[in-house]
Amino acid sequence: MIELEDVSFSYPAAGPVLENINLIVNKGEYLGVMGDNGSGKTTLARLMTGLLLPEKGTIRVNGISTGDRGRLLEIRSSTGMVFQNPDAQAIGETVEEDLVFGLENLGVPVPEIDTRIEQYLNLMGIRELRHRNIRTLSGGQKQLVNLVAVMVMEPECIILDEPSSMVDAGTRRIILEHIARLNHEGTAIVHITHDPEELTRCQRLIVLSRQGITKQGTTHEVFNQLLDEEKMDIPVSFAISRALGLSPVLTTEALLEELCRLKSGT
Amino acid sequence: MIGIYGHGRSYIHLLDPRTKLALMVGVSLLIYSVRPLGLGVLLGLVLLLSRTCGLPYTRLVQGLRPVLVFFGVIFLTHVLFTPGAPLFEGLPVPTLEGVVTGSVLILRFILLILYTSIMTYTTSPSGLNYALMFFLRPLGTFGTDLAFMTGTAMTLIPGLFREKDIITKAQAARGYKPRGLKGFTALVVPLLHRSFRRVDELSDALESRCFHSDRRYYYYRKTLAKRDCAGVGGYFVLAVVILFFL
Amino acid sequence: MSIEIRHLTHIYDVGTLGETKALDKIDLTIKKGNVFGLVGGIGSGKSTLASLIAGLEKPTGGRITIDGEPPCPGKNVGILFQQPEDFFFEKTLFRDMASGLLHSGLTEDEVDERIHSTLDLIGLGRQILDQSPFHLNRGTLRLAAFASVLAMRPGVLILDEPTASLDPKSRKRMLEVIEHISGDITIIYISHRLQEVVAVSEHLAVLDGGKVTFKGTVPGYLDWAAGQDGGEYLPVLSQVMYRLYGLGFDVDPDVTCLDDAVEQIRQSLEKT
Repeated sequence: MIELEDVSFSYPAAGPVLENINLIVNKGEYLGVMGDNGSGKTTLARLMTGLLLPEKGTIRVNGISTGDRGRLLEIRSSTGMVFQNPDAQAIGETVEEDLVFGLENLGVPVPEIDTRIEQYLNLMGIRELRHRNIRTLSGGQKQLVNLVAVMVMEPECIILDEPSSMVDAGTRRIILEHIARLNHEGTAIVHITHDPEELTRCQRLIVLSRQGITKQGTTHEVFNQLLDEEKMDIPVSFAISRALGLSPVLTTEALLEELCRLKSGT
Repeated sequence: MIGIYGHGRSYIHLLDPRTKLALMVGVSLLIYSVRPLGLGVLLGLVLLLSRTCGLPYTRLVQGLRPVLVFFGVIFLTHVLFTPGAPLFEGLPVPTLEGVVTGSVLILRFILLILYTSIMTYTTSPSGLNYALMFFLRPLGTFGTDLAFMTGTAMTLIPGLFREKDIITKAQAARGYKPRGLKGFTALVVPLLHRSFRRVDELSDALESRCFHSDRRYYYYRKTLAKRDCAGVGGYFVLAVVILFFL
Repeated sequence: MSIEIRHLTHIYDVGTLGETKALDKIDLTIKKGNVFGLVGGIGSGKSTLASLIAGLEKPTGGRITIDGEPPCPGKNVGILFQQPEDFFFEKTLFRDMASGLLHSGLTEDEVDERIHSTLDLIGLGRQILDQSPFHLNRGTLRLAAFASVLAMRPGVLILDEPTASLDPKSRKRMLEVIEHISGDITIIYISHRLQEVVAVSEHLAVLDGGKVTFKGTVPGYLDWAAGQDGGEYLPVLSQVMYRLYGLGFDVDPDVTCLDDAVEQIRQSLEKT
């Protein structure tokens, strides 16, 4: 779906942020991206949708190079992006206008615009917000709208750049559930975050640092490595199960199940 | 209050945005050209419209609040500098002429604001944008892009005011007083810094949602209906009556 | 210093279309030298409350007192805003910190002393003072911004999401600094990272839609949060511990440290 081949990028003031990155995002997979501040996570996301062009190397989305400016629209329509700041992504005054914007860009016919807006707002449980002015929404509601705005465009891959780092716990849970559902239905997800608890549903994980990709593998493999190095970014259930000498699990549910099984001695 | 849209299904809400924009221009011309009695009629009409579209009078009047000082200054200038018959014996000002011209001028301004409030209350910003683009169409894609960009840039303005507020407070917490050159730099540098980032974020959002210059704007396009003809017809009747008979 | 908040109500844009009630009759008492956690989503009113306690806005109703006095920014209260690293603008960090202090009426010697002692307190090396704030990494810059507010020597310090968008390493360091300085200063710690709030504060309050929906101690909070629908207000570790407790495991559900939790689970398993 998205291929990065030997990609390097640097900002004039800050120097190189990404060096010789090789990465493939497969169709329909859920990839987690972790890394410290300044490790280039956001830059990576922006490169993937052609918002930035690599200095060196090539990035192809469905085989189209992001450098091919004439076909940028094809790339953008197959990759949606949700950003960190809920306040900075709205285009238009009302929720409906915001959703219409992207659909008009894609040239979706009017009746279908209507059905898609209804469908996705319903799905997210925020149908009553359709005619509300975005400025009057809470930060959490805004971020849900931002997610819907990408969902209505039905991209093959959604890139999320710390989508829940500025919202409350309730909204965060809703966002994570919908991301998991989207992935289940076949949308590829690239999920960038600082919070390991958000990545328990990922299939694959990479850890970025200034040196490039320092770790990659299945979610279990990467968390195991991080734990071995006594890094603190591990999901709680994973850390507990490992500390107890059990086979490591990622979610609370799995941990409880395992512990109950042990307790009853079966 | 100007700039706040309230969703609704009243007659005025349902008018085509282009009709409303055109009528707004027409009404502004009337406001500037009619005699005082006509202004009375227009005032009555705006109150009636406000009632029909569900905008409470209190809120309608609130739109005037930010410009009260401005009105005061204009009124005073007229009262103090218009020659004519003094109101009080022994004092050269205020003059009767000054009070009258001052009041009439302010009434014109007030009406303009009230009518604009009605229009922005009943027209979604996208609708308004669409109307603007329609009238700018003779300028080609440049016109539509201009209208779109203006509309989008407008959405940044409330954010800028909020940022300014936060930065002032944050710097005060570090000891900076909003005074002098240092106080000014302490406000402006971070404000620019944050504003540029805002613009960056907005352009990222636009691009990642597939904005392109030859996009078409069609969702909010409406076909003109009978009610639009009625609206325009009504306007001409009104114009003739208050221009020639009052 | 202790803070008394009585019937505090705040409404923005009174009498306009944009009128919004941000706070609705809040009552809180915050004791001296305490780290007081404030939890709530964006739009819950926590930033407004912060701004009012910091004396940067006048409430539309009710009152706030700090040791009996009204809050006065730069005197008895300081606030570290979100993303404070944006507020630097001078060529060097030293000049940035110093000119604010000079502006507030200190002499140059006092300013020198303040800046150096504050950096020592926070554990930042003095060598960063000569660097440009635009070239420091985010974690260090956040601490420097913290130092910049701390140098005003407030009796009450409000921290609004001090760890937001920091990586785990920088976050840990920030929390250590907060623990280190608390005791002398009353700290109000605002965050939506529940694990951190629970770990760093003694008392806390939850705001939702401008109202206080919970106030009390950390164990009291965990009990309350466990009873809420969806359990969203519960840190992940507590979610695990509470559910184990509910399943009949002999564990203390209120532990907030991972190592203790593991030890308790282990013992509980050994008993059976």
